[in-house]
Amino acid sequence: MDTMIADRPGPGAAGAAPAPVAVRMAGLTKRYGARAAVDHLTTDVPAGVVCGFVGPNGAGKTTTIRMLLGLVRPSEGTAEVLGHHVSDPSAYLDRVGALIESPAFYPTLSGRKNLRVLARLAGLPDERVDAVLAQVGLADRAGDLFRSYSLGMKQRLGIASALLGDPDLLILDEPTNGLDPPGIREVRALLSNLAAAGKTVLVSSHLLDELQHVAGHLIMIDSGRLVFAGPVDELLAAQASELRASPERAGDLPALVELCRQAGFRAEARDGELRVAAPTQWAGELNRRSMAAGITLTALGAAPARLEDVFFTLTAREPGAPEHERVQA
Amino acid sequence: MNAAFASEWIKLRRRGMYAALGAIVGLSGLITLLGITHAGGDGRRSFMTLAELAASGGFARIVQHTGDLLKVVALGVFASAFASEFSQGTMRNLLVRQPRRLRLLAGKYLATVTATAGALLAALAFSVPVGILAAGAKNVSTSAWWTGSGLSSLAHTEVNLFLACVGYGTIGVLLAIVFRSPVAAIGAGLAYLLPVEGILSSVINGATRWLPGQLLDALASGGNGDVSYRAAALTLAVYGLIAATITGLLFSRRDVAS
Repeated sequence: MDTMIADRPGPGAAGAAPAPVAVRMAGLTKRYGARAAVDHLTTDVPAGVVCGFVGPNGAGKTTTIRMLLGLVRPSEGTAEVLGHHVSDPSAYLDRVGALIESPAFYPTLSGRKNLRVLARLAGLPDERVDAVLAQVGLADRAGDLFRSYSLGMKQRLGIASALLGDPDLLILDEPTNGLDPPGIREVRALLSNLAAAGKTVLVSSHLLDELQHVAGHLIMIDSGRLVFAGPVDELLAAQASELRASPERAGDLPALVELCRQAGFRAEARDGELRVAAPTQWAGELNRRSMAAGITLTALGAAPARLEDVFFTLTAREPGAPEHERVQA
Repeated sequence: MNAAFASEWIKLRRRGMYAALGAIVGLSGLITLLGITHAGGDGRRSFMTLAELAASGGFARIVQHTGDLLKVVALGVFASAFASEFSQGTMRNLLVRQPRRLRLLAGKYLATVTATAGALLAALAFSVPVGILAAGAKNVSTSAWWTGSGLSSLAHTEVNLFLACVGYGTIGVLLAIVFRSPVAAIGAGLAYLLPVEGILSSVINGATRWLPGQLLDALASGGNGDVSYRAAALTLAVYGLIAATITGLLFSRRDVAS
């Protein structure tokens, strides 16, 4: 049983205690009429990690985030954030920073004044405004009107607003939208630094390769339902990577394909080589079976599973697509 | 609530609001100028006779005529201040920083009320020299305006105008929370308060005694033949309570999905 973090973790909080949890959802549901935007979502976000929150457009990510922030009331189920029920957002939102969807600010106020509006509202000193503007690289343009900002600058301002209160939990909805590659890299570094500092980051993004680099934990939803929740490494390791092998004699390729199919794997001959959807560990077995069949391999290698491929596999909507539902223990 | 009040004032001090204030002040001065220069003319075009203008309450009556403009502006400013937070998507930012929704609502409202008071005072401050100069050009003495009685009339007029503007603004806030769109809120407010109430009050006997817009007009003018100042104030206080309850319930309970 995991524990919920209700306060900032102290130095003696480690030890044999179970891993603390920053966010806990139990049957969280939001219905709009007959349609369930979020459908009995039950999962945890461990504390102190970057947790990727992924799913196709319309999967229910933003609605879930809004429920966690107290903006939208759940139709059913419960959620706790930093140890407090979402029905009482005032108990925890001072420790949460959030960027929800596209950054929304007052177009005729400068970036600095936009943040001052929020800082004043939260009772934060103006010095925090300048600090976060510098942190996201907007100090030089802080006096310019928000409407004159590029999409990337607007996104940076949104991230700055989320960082204003030096939050324990940061919830970022598509933070890299509109950012150029250096900007994306900076966000990745920022997320890593926050996690290293013990902060919890729940980040939704469509840039799955980026997420793979930075997220240690993953929650994947589709049509409002949980598809996967757990460590990213565990997910990738469990997925079939693609093995590639080249026989010495091209004529052996059909036999090699058949050999793999008999072992229960999807296999095909493409570009003069064998491609088989199988775990990396099966490469040795493939080598042995080839030798036993009198086929000599001149090349054998594995392409590791990518989060993007796993995403498409797990959220496949074709009829008869396998259900890969796996709920965190 | 103090934090929400202070936060709102950062927005109220933006350049566009100063431009709007300049327009309000300028138009108030223009109404004052036209009112005085047309005083003593033929009945069709005149606000009052020259003798009425020179009386202690003469300037207060001129100022009262700016009320029609200021009430409509107040409706627009209040409605826009609240509805645009939804249409721009900034309400979600505010609610993450101040999840106690009623405190946010009250702070924003009070900030807008104080801004309205400031705008009225600025309009009055500009109208005074305009009035003195215009009266001088018509050889009308203004000495009675600054007697105790004259200043008292002016103060009462200004307070009544302020209350009427806050009333129009409160209707604007209610509509903003209902529609969540500045255009819809202002459009619905103007459509109701101007043509709809005008028609209702002309076809229903005694409607001027209970229609909110008519009562606010009566309040602004210190009472009229249809309804006394006291009756208008009491009925409006009840309406205000109802409007505050509905606005508070809607604002605190509805999802913020934009």
